[in-house]
Amino acid sequence: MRPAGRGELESLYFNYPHFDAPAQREGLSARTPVAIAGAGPVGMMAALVLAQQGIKSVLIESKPTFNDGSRAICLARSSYHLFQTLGIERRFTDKGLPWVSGRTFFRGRQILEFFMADSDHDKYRPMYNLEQQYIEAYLYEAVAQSPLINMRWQSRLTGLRDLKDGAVLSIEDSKGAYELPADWLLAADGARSFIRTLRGHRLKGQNYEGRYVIADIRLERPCKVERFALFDPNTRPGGTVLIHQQPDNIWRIDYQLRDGESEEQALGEASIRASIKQVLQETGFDEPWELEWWSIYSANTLLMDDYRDGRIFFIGDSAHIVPIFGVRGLNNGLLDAQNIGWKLSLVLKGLASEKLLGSYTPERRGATLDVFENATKSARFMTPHSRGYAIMRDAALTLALDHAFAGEFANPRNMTPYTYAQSPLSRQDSGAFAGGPGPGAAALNARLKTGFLLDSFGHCFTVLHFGTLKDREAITRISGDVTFVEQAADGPAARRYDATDGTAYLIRPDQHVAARWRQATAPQIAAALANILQGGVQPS
Amino acid sequence: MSSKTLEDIYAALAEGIDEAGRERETLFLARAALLMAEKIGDADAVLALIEAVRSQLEGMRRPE
Repeated sequence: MRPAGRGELESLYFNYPHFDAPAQREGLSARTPVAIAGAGPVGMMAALVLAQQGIKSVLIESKPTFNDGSRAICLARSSYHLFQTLGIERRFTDKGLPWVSGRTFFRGRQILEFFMADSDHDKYRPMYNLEQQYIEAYLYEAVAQSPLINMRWQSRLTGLRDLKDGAVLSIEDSKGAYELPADWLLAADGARSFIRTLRGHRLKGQNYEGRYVIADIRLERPCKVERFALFDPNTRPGGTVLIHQQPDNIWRIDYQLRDGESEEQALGEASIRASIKQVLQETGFDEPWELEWWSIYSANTLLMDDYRDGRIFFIGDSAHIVPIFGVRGLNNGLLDAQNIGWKLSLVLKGLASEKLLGSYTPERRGATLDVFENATKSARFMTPHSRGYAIMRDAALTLALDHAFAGEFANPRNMTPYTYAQSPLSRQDSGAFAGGPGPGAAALNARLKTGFLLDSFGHCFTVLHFGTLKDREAITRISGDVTFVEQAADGPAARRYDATDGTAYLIRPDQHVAARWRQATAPQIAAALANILQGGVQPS
Repeated sequence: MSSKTLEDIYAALAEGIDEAGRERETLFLARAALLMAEKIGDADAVLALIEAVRSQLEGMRRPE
């Protein structure tokens, strides 16, 4: 919502482009290997990952432009690494506001300052704030430049029918209706997914009672970028307020509605202005400000039983809705897109068995359940749903003034990469390692003499080996698209990977560890790679 | 060695509840429990104690 007198897309800082439906009508019905419904950040990311692997897609979006408000604003380090693998990180590093710490207040007193994991070995900071319109605009720049992505705005999906080896989409735009056959369909059509409803699937889980208003204002206040959390502030007794700084002097203020406070009343412009004014007063922000945009959300943990339905894969919010605490909605949606993107590419190129796709649901649903576990802990602290949880929250917060341990309950447990430990693609290791990333874990970065270790990883599989590796042909015979990265057995990367001379790691296209060996031979690595390409069905 | 006994803790809790008053007595007890749990430092043992207290609550209703 926007203030009276301003249209839905009249932003104080962002000029919305307008995109028309396809003018060229010829070839609209030509069969495509992949159709993607929804050009939000997740849908666009899926198209970009596929294009990088050489796979064509058609991306349809019912709206004529980007998201009407800033919504998701926190991008985690993992997302910046993903942008880097696509070669589009520059725009994001130029604009996003990096941050590493936050402060928590209880009844006006600071009780905790938390720091997210960040070291000299990390190329990117743990978190960046960037309005969702910019995220979409930067992804779209890359989409528009790719000859492999056919983007169709103002194109609405109206129906769907199965083929033996695909699906046919019924699409309508202002100029007409047509059918689009596709080998595979990625449903990136959001929390209220039309495709999910059409197929009779439901999201299952819990609704928490906490409801938050999220509001953006423009206010000029040059200061350190950090997150503020205010518990039980004087202005909203019993409630919680979160404050994040965004680029262009935009500030995000989230505040919890009281029990019994009506949404209709709370979402009125006068009420929004009054609440923001109170919060700013209590926080000591006395600069003039303008209201930009506001919305409401509730903290839900909902997901599908299976992220796949035949030739359809659900990615992002269509498959799962997570509470915002911990900033995992967008960041995990991007990882869904990357995960199905590389797997589908290998299958479409005939390099991997279709069984590889069977690992998508267990890996990404596992990641969602992990998010739920963390977010549930955060949510029950941020928005206690019973008297018992409210009393214990107050007990912890009041103790935190004098006892540091109690402040840790208020740590936001922000997004960290999920480890695919149980995945069929992860080869259990023999326990020979005392450190380093284990099977299924995200690869660690390391600062080298020039640049960073992850900069040298390939677009497909990477073999990271310490010391020389003989008989590489054994591996390249299995797949030609393998990047070999050699590191010294006594270098900085070796320490991060607990490696000695002869150690090797097999890294997946999404930069997660598939397998590792203390003393590797090329045939062992080749066998593990072949196993992944067959869907990880055989124990190796 | 401290000459204090469980009797003293008993009295301190009782007086704490009285001082806190009806509005804040629960908060006082919750804070005491959390602080003691941290001091004990053995999550399994503390959870077993909490469970023991929980399971006995049912039998402690005054008969109608």
